[in-house]
Amino acid sequence: MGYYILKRFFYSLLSLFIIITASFFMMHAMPGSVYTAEKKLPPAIEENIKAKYGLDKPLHEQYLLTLTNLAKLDFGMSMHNEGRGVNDIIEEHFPVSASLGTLSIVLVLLGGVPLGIVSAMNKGKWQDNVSMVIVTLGVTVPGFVVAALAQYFISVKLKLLPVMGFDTPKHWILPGVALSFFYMAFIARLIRSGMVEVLEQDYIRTARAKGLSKAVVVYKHALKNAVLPVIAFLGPLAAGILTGTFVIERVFSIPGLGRYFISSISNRDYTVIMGVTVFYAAFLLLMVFIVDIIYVIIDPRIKLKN
Amino acid sequence: MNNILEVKNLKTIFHTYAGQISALNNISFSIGQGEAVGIVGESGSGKSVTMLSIIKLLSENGRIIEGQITFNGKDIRNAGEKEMQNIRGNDIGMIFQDPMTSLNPLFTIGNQLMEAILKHNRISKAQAKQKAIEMLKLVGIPSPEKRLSQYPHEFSGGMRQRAMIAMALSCEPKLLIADEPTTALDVTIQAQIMELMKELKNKINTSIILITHDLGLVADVCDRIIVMYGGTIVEQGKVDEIFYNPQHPYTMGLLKSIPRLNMGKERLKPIDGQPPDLIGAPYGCPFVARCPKAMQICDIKKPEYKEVGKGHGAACWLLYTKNRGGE
Repeated sequence: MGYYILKRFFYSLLSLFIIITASFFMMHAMPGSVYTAEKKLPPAIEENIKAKYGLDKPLHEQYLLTLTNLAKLDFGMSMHNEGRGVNDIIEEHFPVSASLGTLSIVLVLLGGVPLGIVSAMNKGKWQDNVSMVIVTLGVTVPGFVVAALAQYFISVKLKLLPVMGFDTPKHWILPGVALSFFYMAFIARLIRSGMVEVLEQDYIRTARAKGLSKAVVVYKHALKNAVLPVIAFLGPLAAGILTGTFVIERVFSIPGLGRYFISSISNRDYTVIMGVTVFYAAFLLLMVFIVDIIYVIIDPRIKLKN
Repeated sequence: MNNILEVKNLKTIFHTYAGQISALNNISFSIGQGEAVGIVGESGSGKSVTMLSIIKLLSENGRIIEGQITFNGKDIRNAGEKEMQNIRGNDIGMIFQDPMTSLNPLFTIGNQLMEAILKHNRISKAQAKQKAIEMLKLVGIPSPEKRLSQYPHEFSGGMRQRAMIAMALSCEPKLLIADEPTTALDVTIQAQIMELMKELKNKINTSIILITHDLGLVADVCDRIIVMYGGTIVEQGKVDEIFYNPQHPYTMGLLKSIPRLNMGKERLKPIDGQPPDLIGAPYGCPFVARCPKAMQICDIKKPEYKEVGKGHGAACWLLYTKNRGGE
C-alpha cells in the first residue's frame, strides 16, 4: 500500500511536469502579451516592466525559471494586477469555487442516485419514463443554457431567487443546480443501467431466497454493486464540475477561481495562468487518486498490486 | 401421511414477446417429512420453475394461474410477500446452480451467512457468528473462523457451494431445495458435494428436493424420483421403480442415455429430437414428437397420470392400452 502510494505520487509528479511544459509553451505561443492593451505603453517603460518579470529573457530561460519557482511552490506575482501574489489569488478565490463544486457534487449524488434507483425499480413504468425524460434533457442541454433559463424564469419572472452573486445560501441554489444538472442526469443513467443489470444477478435471487426484505436486497445487495461504475466516474466528474465552474461563475457573476482563470488567459497574465493550471492539475490528480483508493475499499476483488 | 409439501394442479405461465408460455401444466406431487426427492428432466422441462413457483421467486413476467401449494399444512399459494419472506430462508432453504455467481462479491461470506440467521432468529450478533462458524464446520469448510471474514472470490467453486449449503441450512429449514447444485462444478467436486448432501440428509431431518438433469446423481441420495418433461410430470416413483421398471418412454430414453461402466463398445442412445415449444396451449402428450411408441391418440389428447403401483405412476397412453408386453 505504502509503495503503491509512493509510485502514484511519482507518476503524478511526472504528469504535472508534462502539464506544466505543455501549458507553458502553448501560453507563450499565443499572440500578444500582458502589455498589449488599449493604451500603448512607452517602449522604455514596457522594457523596464518586462525586465522586472523576466519576460525579456529567451523562452528556454523563462521556462527553467518557471520550473524552479514552481518546484519551490512559489507561483510568483500577478503580471496584470500589480502587487498581488498568485498564491493569494488562489487562496482568496478557490474556496468560493470549492463550495460551489462541493454543493454541486452533493446535488449530483442526492439527485442522480435516487432518480436512477426509482427508474430501475419501475423499469418500463411511468416513473421510469419521467426520469428518463429528465435524464435526456440533462445530458443534452448545456449547463449555461440551463443557467440562463433558470435565471430568466425563476429569478426574473417569478422573482423566487436572486439572479446572480454568491452572498447568501439563496444565491447558491441556481448555480448549484445549473452546474450539477448534466452530471446528475449522467449518474442517474449509470445507476439505472447498473441496477437493472445487478437486479438480474444470481446473488440477488440468493438474497431473496434467504427471506430478506426487498429494501435490504435493493439497498444493501444491489446498490453497492450498481454504484461501482459511478465511483469510477467520480474522477472525471470532479474534473467536469471544476471546468464547469468556469462558465457558471461567469454567468452568475460568482467571484470564484474559474472566472479569474478565464480572465487571466485573456489578459495573458502568464504567472496566474501557470499557477492556477498547476493548482487545478494537482487537485484533479489527487481526486483521481482518492477515487482509486475508494474503489479498493468498496470492491474486495480489487487489490493494489505493486 | 405427513407431507411437508403438497402441490396440486399447479399451472404457471410466462408472458413473453413471442407469446404466452405454459411452463407448468397441472403439476401435482408431494414431499414427505424427511424425504429426499429428485426432480429430473432436461433443460426447460419446468424443474426450476416448479421450485420458483413454490417459493414465489418467479421472474416478473411469470404467474401462477391455477393450483394449490400447501406447505407445512398451510396454503401458501396466495401468501403475501411478507409471509413468504418469513418462509424463505427460514422454513425453505435454497441452493442454486452456479456458486460462482450466487454469492454477492462485495460482502464477506460471514456477512452473507449471518444475514439470514439474524433475519429469522432473535439472537445477538455474537451468537449468530457462533452459529455461522458451526454451519461452516458442518459443511466441511476448514478453519471457519478465518473463512468467515473472507470474500467469495477467495473461495473455490466447491467451497462456495459448501458455503451456499451452509447458508441454506443455517435456519434449520423444514425443506431444502437444491437446484442443480453440482452442475457448475467439476466432477470430483460434484462427488464431494453429493457426498456432503447425503451426509447432511442423515444428520439433520430435513426434506430435500434435488433438482438435476443427471439421473445418476439422484439415485444415490434420493428416496423418490419425479421425472418432468415439457412442463408436466411424466412419471414418478421410488428410485428402484424408476430405474428397473420405468413406465414412460421418456424415462426409458433417459435411462438409456446414461453411460455405464459395463457397457462395452455399445453406443449411447440419445433421445432424438428437440424438447417441445411451450408457447401456446399444449395439445396431446408433450413427448409425442420424440416418442418411439407414439400412437394416434397421443397427438390429440393428453394422457392422465395413472398409478401403476404404490406411489409409482406415469402419464402415458401406453398404460391405458391392455396388451402391454413386459410385466
